[in-house]
Amino acid sequence: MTSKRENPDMKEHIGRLLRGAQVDAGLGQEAARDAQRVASGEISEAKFYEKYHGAYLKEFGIDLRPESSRSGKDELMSKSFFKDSISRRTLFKVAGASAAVLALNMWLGRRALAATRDDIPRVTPVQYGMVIDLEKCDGCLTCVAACKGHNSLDEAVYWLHIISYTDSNRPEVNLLPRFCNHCSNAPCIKVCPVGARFKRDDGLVLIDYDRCIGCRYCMTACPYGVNYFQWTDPAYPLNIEPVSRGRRVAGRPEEGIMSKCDFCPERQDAAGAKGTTICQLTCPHNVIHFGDLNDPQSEPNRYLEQKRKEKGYISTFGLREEFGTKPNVIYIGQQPSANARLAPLPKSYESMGWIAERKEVLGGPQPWFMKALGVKENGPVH
Amino acid sequence: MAQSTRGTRVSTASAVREVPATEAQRKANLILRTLGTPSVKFYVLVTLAALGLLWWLQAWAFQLGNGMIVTGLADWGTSGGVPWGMYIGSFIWWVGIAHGGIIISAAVRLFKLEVFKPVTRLAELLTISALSMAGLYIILHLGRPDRMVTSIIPHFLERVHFSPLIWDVTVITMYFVLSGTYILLSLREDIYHLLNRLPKIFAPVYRMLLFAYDPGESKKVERMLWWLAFAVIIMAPLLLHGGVIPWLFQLLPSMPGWNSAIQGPQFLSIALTSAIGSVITLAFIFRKIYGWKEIIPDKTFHRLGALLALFAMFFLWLQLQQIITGSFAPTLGMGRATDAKVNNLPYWVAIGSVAASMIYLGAQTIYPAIFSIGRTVAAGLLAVMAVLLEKALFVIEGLAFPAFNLYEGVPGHYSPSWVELSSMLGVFSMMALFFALVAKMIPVIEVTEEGEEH
Ligand code: SF4
Repeated sequence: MTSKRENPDMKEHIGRLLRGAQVDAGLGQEAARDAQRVASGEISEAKFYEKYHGAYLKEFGIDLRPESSRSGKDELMSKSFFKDSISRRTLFKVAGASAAVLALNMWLGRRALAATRDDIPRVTPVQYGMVIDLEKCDGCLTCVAACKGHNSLDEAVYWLHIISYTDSNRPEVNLLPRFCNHCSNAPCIKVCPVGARFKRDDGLVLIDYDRCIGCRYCMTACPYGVNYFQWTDPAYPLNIEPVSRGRRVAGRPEEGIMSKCDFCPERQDAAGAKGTTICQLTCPHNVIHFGDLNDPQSEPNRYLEQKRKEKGYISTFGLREEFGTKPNVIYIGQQPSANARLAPLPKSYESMGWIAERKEVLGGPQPWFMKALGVKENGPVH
Repeated sequence: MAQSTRGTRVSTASAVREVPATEAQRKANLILRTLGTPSVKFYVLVTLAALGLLWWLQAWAFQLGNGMIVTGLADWGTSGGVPWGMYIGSFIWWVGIAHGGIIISAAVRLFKLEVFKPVTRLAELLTISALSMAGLYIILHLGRPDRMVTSIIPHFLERVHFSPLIWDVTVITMYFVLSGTYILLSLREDIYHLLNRLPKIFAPVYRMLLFAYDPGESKKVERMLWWLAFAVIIMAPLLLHGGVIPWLFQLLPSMPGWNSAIQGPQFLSIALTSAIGSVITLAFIFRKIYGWKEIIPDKTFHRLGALLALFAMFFLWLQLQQIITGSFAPTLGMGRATDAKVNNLPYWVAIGSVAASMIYLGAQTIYPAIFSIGRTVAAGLLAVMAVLLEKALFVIEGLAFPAFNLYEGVPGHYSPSWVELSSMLGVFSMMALFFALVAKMIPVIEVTEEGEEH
């Protein structure tokens, strides 16, 4: 940019304009001239700001041009109770402390991550589990009945539930008994706020009935839907010993507490019953094989081996393994695909005199004001 | 902003020149009107609220006596139910409402947002009371509330690094203590200066509140308040409603409707929307009852409305993010959950209400000429109620469409029972009682410094 010679008429004109604005016209004109010198590189920008800062402040009471921003600081600080200047030394200290905190955070963060991932013993000395031979199950419901009776379960509570479905390329009815998977990385244990959910060193995932507060968080965290909450007082008396290894964990709990398939903990320390569950003992078709999955010589592992030999190959799966839960119920057979659709059971729950959906029996007693109004009660109450 | 405040002050002062008191004193008198002898209307309100509370108490007794069976909840899985429902939905809602209060008050202190100054005390009181309601809902939700202390406290240290529920309990407790301290510190100052003008019957309360108060320490207190505000403004959004509350849900892969990393910002935007909406509503009720047109001016409502519109916009934007992710090429579970959500009429009622509120308040921000206090309050209230619906739907729908759907009972069903609905009446009654009584005891608006020099 070339600096143009000023036209005297123009100068007069600007002078008039600035005078009209009731400010020091001389200052404006001088600054304008110098601004042109800045543009042509005759003087530096910094020099320009410095030269006029005082004059601007005097004339306008404020100078908001960038270089002079420091002048506003006093005003900013006046209301704060912090010191109005920070020494370089303090700044260094703060920077150093920040870096240290950052490093500490990184270390803590990694540790926390490692801790939450490994909180639950993934490998227990003994891991009770099951091998389920789907090819042999015919849906007779003997195991379900045995489980219900043994644990005194309420109407419509199925710790052991038989899912029946048809699938693409498998139009026949397929059956899948669903147990608790007693996962090695159980989400229910992770989320329990009070540690009522725990994994024993024999691999059983259990609920401490004396500690559970009934928040039902475990039920929302479980990907399998195996949990049953005791919504009201239990309907039947308990016939088994609920305390195992000092904690009350077996059979149905009392009102307000969570329950689920427990792999019969009361049997696992009893001579003669050790290593068995009621469902396994009662299944007439040899579908359920219960034992220590860590032990290659255990019943379920021997069964897998034998089946492999018989057929030359076997297909096994665990339910929804993509959730990272490490389930300990191994199914022999085909996994239900995304196209699996529910189908009626060969032998229905109704034919056993059971109610399929617990919703149907959950309703609670009638409140006093309904009775007072003479409203009829609907549905059974348990 | 500052200029216009000065402007109104000057004009009102000249209008009432015949009153001998100074402008500040006159305002203080207006504020202290709440402490006067209760009117008939006051007794009617208190009686109605007490009745509402009684009704709920008998409903709760019914639940304690018969078990959670009297709720509409059931197990998911073979039972085809939903194990968390209105209690948890209301819990999130109240925590969200609790947000606004203390954040507004902290922002006034930290960023000198003088326009919100008149509502700070009310907002702080809202924080404390709403947080208490949230806590109550957790108790209502539990199957064994009697074990709250015996089960949680002894095992706290071994669970605190695992269970998101314990994170919630921890952070909410921290938040409660912080805001409680905050409000107490600022209140003591006011009470000390106004002591001779406060009703004598509550003297023991004031003595308790003023325990070990030293007027010479006001500088120090001011400093403490600043740091408390600083802690709150960082902790409340980032750790509480954008942190542990959504984590309760988003960390569970078993429920695809919940399992999304966007829940943090989503929950925060929803919380702030409802928080601002409820502050608007509360401030309006007080303004109406006590004729506080100049104490809580239109401008305060106008700016609160602008804030609400902004947060509501984020709310809707984040909903869009979820729907688009859940529909374009979703996993099976996520697709099912999204389908269920967008085919549910109540969801659109909630979203539509938030959108309507945002559009009106946004327009009013751009064209202040269309401002109306009535409409602003209506829009605020609409947003608050829409959030309650959205929160309940989020919880219920999330659980109704689990990833593992090979059950007779999928999707689950839930509708709140009379016991659960009664709890709403109960907590609203308690809020009404709280504000009615507090307004009779302490000034619910901070009285300016000059006010007490008479
Ligand atoms: S319901 Fe009981 S076992 Fe389940 S998470 Fe809550 S406290 Fe733990």
